Amino acid sequence: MTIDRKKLIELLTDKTDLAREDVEAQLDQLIERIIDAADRGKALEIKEFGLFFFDQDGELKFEPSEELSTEISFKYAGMKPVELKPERNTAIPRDDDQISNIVGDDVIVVPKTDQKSSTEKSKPTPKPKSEPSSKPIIKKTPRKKKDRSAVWAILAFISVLIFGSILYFNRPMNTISDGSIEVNEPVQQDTEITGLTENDSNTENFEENSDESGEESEIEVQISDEVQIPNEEQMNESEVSTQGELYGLTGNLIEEANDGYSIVVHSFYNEFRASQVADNLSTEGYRTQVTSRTVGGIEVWRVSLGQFESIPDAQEVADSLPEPYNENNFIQRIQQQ
Amino acid sequence: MDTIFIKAFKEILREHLVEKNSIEIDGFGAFEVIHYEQHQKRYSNGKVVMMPPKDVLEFKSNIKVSNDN
Repeated sequence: MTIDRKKLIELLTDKTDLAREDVEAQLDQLIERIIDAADRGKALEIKEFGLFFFDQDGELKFEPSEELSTEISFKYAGMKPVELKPERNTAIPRDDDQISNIVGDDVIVVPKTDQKSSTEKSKPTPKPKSEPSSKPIIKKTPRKKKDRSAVWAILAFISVLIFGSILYFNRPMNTISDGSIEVNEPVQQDTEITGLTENDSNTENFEENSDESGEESEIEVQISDEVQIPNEEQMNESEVSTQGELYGLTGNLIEEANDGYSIVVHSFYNEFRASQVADNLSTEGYRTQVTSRTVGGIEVWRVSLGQFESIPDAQEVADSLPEPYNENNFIQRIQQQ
Repeated sequence: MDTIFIKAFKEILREHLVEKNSIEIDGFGAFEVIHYEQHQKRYSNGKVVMMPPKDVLEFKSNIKVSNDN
């Protein structure tokens, strides 16, 4: 809506109870004073409103006061530029964390290197043909490079565990069809890892191995302990992870997702009012948060929706929000407490 | 000039500008609130930031003086 001079005079007349002619005269007088002051090279300030002055090009300019600027841009007051997350910093540590969480602290890297050294030293002892197939996997994990090699070793170990577990679950079918005919190396590994020695040929091989080197049998026992537990736990974890997503617009707030972004849809001076609106939005199924910011000494309460991993994710969802939120919003980084 | 008039002038302009209405006064100028969307900005040091949105009051006037003096 546009307020023109005529409408402004009407509004001023209503507000001041002055005669229309008086209001017109006073408005003209005000404009005249502003121009005069500016013309004399002075700025005329209307307190708590702004400053009128002529700039270097001789054009009349207006600089709103801080109070007026804050009030006009109240919704966005106090917002500062948000640095976008560099991908490198986020991707690598997360992978490490996930690996350490899944595998645990007692990773079998040390036994592998011990075994490596022991196998190198004890070359004279003859090995059955089935063993070299399992050894290259162990030899591939160099001990010297701690940072990357440890990660790769863990990944390789996990893949071996997964491979072993897959073989374990598929084993009954294989033994029925093939087990009686040939001694399959992967099957043999599988039985060693899982500790299930139902097949006669496999038990024989297992006994031979244990006779030759006691260290290896110990390692095999450790592996078997570890494989059996993760098989159940990993299944449970995968079931849990599919039930609820970490980031999203709807559902309950998840504390771990507070490292991301949310969509601000309301700003209030009053915390109670902000909480009321947030509660209403919560009942509609949104993840809502009320956060406070101090802007120019004034506390502002913002109601935001959702938890998103990145700004583009939040932006995409913000565009699909119902009116008026889809056009009247902004994205902020969630304040971690 | 009347104090009541100045006070009313400020209040009316503030009320309407907060509502994003524009105010045009013939022979003087026009007040208008411009909305700037949030946007990405790259600083000279390579840092990329998301600039927040904002509403800015702008004043446009045809009044101009010469700077000859």
